[in-house]
Amino acid sequence: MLIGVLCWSALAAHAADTAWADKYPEQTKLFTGSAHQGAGLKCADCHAADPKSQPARDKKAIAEMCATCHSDVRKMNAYGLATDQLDHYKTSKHGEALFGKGDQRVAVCTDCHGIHDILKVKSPQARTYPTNIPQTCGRCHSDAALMGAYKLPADVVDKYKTSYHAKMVFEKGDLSGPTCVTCHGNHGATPPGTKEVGQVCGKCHTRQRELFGKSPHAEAAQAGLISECVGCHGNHAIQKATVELFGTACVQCHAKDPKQLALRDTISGMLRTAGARFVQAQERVRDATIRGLATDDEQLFLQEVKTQITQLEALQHTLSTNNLSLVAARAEELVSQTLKDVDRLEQIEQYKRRSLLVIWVFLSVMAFLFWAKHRQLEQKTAL
Amino acid sequence: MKLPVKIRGWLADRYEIGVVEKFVEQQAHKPLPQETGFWHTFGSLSLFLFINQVITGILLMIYYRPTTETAFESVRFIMTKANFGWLIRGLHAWGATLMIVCVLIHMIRTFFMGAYKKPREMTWVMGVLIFGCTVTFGFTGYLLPWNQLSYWATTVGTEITSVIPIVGVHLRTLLRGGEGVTGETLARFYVMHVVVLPWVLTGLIAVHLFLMRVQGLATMERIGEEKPIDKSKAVPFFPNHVMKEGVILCLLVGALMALIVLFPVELGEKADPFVTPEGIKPEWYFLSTYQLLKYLPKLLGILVSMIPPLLLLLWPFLDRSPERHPKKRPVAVGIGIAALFLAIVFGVLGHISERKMTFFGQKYEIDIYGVPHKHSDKTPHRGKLPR
Amino acid sequence: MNQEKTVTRRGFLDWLLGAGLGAWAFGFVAPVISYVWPAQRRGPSIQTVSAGKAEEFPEWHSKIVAVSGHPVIVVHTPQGFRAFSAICTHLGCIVQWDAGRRQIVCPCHAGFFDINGKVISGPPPKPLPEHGVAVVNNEVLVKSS
Repeated sequence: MLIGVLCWSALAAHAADTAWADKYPEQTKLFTGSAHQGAGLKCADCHAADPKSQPARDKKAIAEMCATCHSDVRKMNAYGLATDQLDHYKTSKHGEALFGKGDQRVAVCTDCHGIHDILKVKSPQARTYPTNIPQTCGRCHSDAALMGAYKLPADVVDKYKTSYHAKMVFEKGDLSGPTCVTCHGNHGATPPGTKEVGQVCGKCHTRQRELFGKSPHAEAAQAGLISECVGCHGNHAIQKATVELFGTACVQCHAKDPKQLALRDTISGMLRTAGARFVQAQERVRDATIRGLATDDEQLFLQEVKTQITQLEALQHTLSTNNLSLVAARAEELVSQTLKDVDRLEQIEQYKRRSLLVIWVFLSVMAFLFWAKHRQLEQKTAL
Repeated sequence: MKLPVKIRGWLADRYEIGVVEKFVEQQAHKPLPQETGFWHTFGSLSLFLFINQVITGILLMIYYRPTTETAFESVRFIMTKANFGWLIRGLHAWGATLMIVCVLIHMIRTFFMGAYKKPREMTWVMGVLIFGCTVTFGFTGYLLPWNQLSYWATTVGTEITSVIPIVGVHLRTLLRGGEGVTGETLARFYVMHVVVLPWVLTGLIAVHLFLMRVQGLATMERIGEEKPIDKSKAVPFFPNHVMKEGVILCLLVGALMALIVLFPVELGEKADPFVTPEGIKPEWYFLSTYQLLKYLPKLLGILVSMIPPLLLLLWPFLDRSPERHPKKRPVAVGIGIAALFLAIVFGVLGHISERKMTFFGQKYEIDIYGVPHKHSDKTPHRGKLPR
Repeated sequence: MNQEKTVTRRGFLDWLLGAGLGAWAFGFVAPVISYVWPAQRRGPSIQTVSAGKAEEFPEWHSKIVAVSGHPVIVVHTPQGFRAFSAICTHLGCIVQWDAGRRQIVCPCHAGFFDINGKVISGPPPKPLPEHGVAVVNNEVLVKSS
């Protein structure tokens, strides 16, 4: 009797499953291979028991439904997943609009993770895998009409794609590079305020932030007069910082301050000079190496110079010419030493040329002796 | 040179050294025709340069390492750390060029003086094989420093073999030890350069010298009308002719040292299979053939470029004239001069092609066929190889 | 009289030639011997570089030496000598030893490595490659890999 009941339940469940699959073949196909299927979920676990009923449309309901498992510590523990997503979400701009104003146009769980074909974040095909994030966010944030309603720009993803950060992730394959969520957060997505931007950038660029904190700009940033980091470097379309940035960044505020512009010129001048001298030394060492001169020590010096210049690039955030001149002076010392050494190597080549003269003199004498002997023998034969 | 009495006595008790001494005497004082002059020194000079190559080659082998990871570094070590390493390397690299020059002058001299004719046809044939061997030495040795020039010149050079129908691709694979130029190529070229070719060349030179010594040097008389050497006017090989060779040797060594110091051999950049430098060309002794191949469709080019070596090899059997004196052989001399002229013209074209030059202030871009075009930034790349 | 003079002149010429040839031979042999004599203790297959005497290397001190043209930082720990490539894995700056923290630090962007070469904090993406070190006859020898 018991066996009969068990068999009948299994059959009934199977029949129910098949009912869902028959009615919704597309969704079943998408569900196959998904993380939820792998965890043993079935259609009825999210949808109502009756396949004929409508799927959930209200985003608030979706968020709360996902949270029934994903905010339950006991359920998520075995999978090692966090359970604070909904709490974070409620603090995000998306969450505030949905839960506060009932705005159904914002993103909710399914918009970013997918509906039936949700994959683990670590899977490269997942919508939330780092290389797919810009595209996922861009579904809404590149939609001009949608963004226009919130008075938000619709070009942020395009700008990001031109940035050095995008190059890191997409061209160099360095997944530690930032995507949208690195700076904005994921579930608690909020653009960082002007006071917090520095902290976001400082997550990776620790040294630069530390040094910036020692500069006169730090106060201005605290007072909200300038945006820390973003004020000079930009945000979404950020490029690799070069000395050229001095030409465009400072005049944004100091266009009419000759004193500050003079300081700018001094600092950028130091960087330019150090860079130019390094290139000069590098080319001379390279030429000497190709010629076959012994440039081992000089190549080591060049690596040291490069170290000093990289330090300069970070140090300039302090805007203090004292530290900078020390490091610049060390770089120049090394460059001079390198160039002197290459001169010395070429001097040795000069000695070789001088000894050539000696050799020629010797050979001329020998040739003359051979010739004289030859003449002597000919005369002897003639006798 | 006489042996000290005691040593001579010890040897005489055991061996027929009288025979050896007589032979050495004969060879040393061998009478040469009185016309034998300074033009006849280039054979010995070539031999001297070969011995130079062997000695400097052995010395280089002490520090050279024939793998792709270490070859370039080992050459760098030789040039920067080993005492006089730059000199040994310079002697070897420039010595190779001078050896080819001397062998060429020797061949040209022999050709114009008709010395290849009966009974010396086989001496000539040996000589052409020696020339082939020398040039192969140059080709295999060129790869060993494993720098950009080496790598790409070898790639271009071995690529040419692939146009031979049916066997071409297999021949190229055999030469390279694979698809492209790799460590396998380096290994094979090293074995050829350091073991196979030296023994082959030594054998060829031995036969060549033996034949030359046994038959004596040619004069300019007609075939069949050679007079025996007038002993009273003959030039003893040693010391008379050797003194002449000494004078020329001094000049040669002077030139060699000048080249080493004034035009030092560079280390270059380590071979990079992913970066092709501009204007890759083979060494100068291959330039005329390389340039010729550009003007002709591939297979025809290969066939045409095989003609000169074949002609050279078979020349004594094709030239029917009994005359040796150049003034009495206008046809042969004419063909010789024409061949030299063509070789030089193609060689020069090969050198200036694919280069930018400035002539009287106007920049010119020379295309692959050697035709100059006025250089402007809008000029697209001209010239395609015929397919 | 003439005969004598001719003999002396001929003899003189021969002597000169002989001396010249001898000088020539010496001029060739001397560089060759110098060449064959090892330039360094080992040839281009150099395997180790000395970082000085072990007794002159105090504990928790460091030194930078050049191995095959690359800087290597050698640190004397209580457990023995450790050596790592001194080229920071972030942007190639040359690292330094911070005796206070007992860590290897990169001055460019404050990358910190522990005494095993592993990244503790900062931007470096990979640990510092380690080089083998051995103390032979009181000499600290750093291997080239």
